[in-house]
Amino acid sequence: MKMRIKTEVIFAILLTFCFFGLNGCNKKKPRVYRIGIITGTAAYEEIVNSFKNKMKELNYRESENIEYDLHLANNHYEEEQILQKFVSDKVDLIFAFPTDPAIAAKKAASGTNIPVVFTMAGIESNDLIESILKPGGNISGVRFPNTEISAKRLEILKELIPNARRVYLIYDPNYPNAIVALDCLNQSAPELGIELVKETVNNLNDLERVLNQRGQLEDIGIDAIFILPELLTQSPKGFEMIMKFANEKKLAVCGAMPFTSENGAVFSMAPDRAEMGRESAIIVDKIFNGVPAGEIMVVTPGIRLIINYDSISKLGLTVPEGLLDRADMIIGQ
Amino acid sequence: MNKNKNKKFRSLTFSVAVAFLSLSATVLIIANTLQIYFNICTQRDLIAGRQKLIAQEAADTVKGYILEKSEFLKTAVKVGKLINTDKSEQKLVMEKILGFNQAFRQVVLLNSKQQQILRQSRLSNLLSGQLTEQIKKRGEEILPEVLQGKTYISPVYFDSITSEPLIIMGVPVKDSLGNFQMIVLSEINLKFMWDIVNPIKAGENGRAYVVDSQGALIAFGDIGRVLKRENLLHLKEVAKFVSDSCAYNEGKIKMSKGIMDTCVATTHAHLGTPNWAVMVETPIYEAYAPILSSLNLAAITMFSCFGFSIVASHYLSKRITRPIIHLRDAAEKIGQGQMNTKIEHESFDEIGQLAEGFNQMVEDLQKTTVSRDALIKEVHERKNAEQSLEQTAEKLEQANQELKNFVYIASHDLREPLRKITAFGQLLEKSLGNKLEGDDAENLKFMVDGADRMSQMINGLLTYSRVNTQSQPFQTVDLNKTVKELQKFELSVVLEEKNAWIEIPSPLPCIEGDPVHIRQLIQNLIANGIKYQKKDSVPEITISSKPAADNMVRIEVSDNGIGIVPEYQNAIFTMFKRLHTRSEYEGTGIGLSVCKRIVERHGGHIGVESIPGKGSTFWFTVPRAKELIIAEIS
Repeated sequence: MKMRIKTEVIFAILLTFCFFGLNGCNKKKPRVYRIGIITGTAAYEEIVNSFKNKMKELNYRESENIEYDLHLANNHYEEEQILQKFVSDKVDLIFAFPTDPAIAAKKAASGTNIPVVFTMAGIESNDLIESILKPGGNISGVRFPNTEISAKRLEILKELIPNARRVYLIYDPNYPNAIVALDCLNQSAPELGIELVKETVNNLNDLERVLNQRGQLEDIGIDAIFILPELLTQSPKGFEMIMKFANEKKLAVCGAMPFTSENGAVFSMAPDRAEMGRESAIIVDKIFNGVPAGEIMVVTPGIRLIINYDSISKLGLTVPEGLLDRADMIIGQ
Repeated sequence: MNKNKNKKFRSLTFSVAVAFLSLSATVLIIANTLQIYFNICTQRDLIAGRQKLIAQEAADTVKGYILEKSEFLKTAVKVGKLINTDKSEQKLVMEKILGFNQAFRQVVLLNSKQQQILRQSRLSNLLSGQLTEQIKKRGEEILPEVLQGKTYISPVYFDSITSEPLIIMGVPVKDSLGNFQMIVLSEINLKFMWDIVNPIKAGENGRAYVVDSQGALIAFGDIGRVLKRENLLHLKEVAKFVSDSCAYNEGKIKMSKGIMDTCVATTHAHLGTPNWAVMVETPIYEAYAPILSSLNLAAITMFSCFGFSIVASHYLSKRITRPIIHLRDAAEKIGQGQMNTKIEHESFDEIGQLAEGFNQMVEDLQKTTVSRDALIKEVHERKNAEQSLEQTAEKLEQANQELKNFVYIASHDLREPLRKITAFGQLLEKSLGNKLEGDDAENLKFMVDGADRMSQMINGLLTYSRVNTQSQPFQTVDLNKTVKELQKFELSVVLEEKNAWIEIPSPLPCIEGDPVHIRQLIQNLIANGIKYQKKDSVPEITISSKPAADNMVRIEVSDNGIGIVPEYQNAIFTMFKRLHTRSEYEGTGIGLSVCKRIVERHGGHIGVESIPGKGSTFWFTVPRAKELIIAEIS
């Protein structure tokens, strides 16, 4: 009798445990996504960090369900190697920036089902996307607002240095963004009474040579230097050469990327890098949730104006109060 | 009994278990359903309240964002020098407005005739044209608003390049006397509002977004959708707001398709100014998570209880039916003759009492009855005895039959030689006549007499045996007719010799019988009455009848003869029993035996009532005629 009761009690307990056990056995092992990140600029940290942080907010945690494979490509050859690796590794997504790596990534991923998300990439004068609203293919991302920035920078330069008539443009003609910017400047300059003094360079040696040549002229023929959004003049070495030249000749340098104003340019105006990283992460999340990349609208980031008050002061210039009010960041004082 | 045998066996244990289980399940289901229902009602109200609160807070935040811009514009135009000053002053004020917040994309100063005096922009001159177009487009609606001193807020429009949502906010510029002088219009990029809408949390996975009075999405976490200029009129809650933005939102939670095309619990809060609404959506699984959790808990509880009910029902049904099963098994054993079977009962309840009663019954049964084997043995012995008895009866019957056959054969076959002895004796007596001397003549006479008597006796025996061997089927016999025929034929001589007469006081009834034997019976009794008479007396025979029990009739034949002493009245029906010597009355002593046998064959009785010296009355009972019985019944 007692044995029978015991058996029945054990049976009941087992039944209960089975029920609770089954209830808790539905957890699936999470999928681990792999993202290949390729950057063509050494100043990638802010973008990558904000990208990763946003991904974390969106529940993609390293060592849990996401892995990043970050590579810096210093030239086209390296770009190709890295992208080939991503393709052969069958990564789940390629995150590429700025323009050149983005274009290369699109090319490398074509024929595969690997989506590409770009950031800080110019979309004008190239075939990166079909349109902002519907980029098409298997690509989307955050654009570099080249058209909005370029002409405005020239206007600010004019506001800051009303006497500037000859603005020196030294740039790598092979970088697509530079050409687009140049088009905008060409339109805006006559209205502002500015003459654009253009000079193309293909590499750092070229840049050094050209600057030396101009420096040796009795009249250097320029009132300010305008940096176009391309990598050669905004590489650490390239920009150092330009700043050295500008300092020698007491010229104002109008920078593009934030690091330029941090390193002597009177101001810089560029998209918000942190925002670009964040917006890219949101697009990646959508793709991982099944939205085709080509259907996701390209996002335009906010623009940040940074004024280097010290650099301006050194040149003996006065910053208009209104311009200071509009600046997102002022260095010095 | 056979019917029950054909029926399927239905386990009582199973039935009790099922009944208990059904009862438990019903109670569980009802209790849980009620609990779930009330829980859902409470939770739904709570969710609705929470959702409404979130929506209202979000609406306040968004409204605060717009009001902040509006208040700043108003303050700027009040504090800043815009009237009666040069352009540089005006430009500074406008630049300060732009610098206040990135959301101020462009600022335009218009005179009272709505002509543009100055413009400051975050955009390059190349891209600033869209605001000018919008001002032209909405000029008529701007002026009336600002003339009333109100802040003008335009409908949302989108940037042609970036698709970012924009509005125009306009405030009047008045002089110290309060006269309207100019208008400051500012293009505000609502993109910067996203940063305040994004953090609005509606639960873990809830979403908040802002739509304008046309249903256009102007702020949402997924800015791509805003940039696509999505219109959400297809969503029920948005459509409700657009169709009647002033309607009171009763705060009830509604389930509908949400912005992510999933089922959501949604509500909205109207901002008032501007005419936008904040929509708050919580995924239905999250909104109803407490309900689901409570449902889950209820399900777990219910299934656990159900599990325990199964065990309990099993245990209880076993507990109830186990003693009954023991009873059944014991009954089967007892049925098989194991009378020492006892039921061990565990409980001291009604079933325990039943088991005790059963044990007592078995004990009593053991005491008061023989075992089944003993009974079988007894029955077997009785059957054997009966068989033996039957065999003996058969043998007896056979012997009796053989005896009857022998009597018949003997009497029949003996008659012939005896007749020859008698006949040749008589011939010898005639031929020898006087030749014989001494005792020889007398001896011859004795021999002839003996042979004659023996012949009579054999005839009597033959008659006696014929009662059984030569019988006729029973039929209606009219006794009056029988007596008349006897008087006319068989008894005519003796009646005449003795001057005897027969009186029948009333007509005799018809009876059911063998007509030959009945005639023999009445003849014997009348003949006896005539024979046993005193000397010189005239025999008087009276025949009467009386009804008797069992549809019989009693016939009485009375005489005025010598009578019979009582001690011999029973013996006279024995064969060869004679009360008188042959010299007194002739006879063989068989007649009454034959009478008795005939009456017995007819199922009746025969007897005599007699007073010696006065006469005797012989009576017998025979069945009444069937016709008479039928006639009486009818």
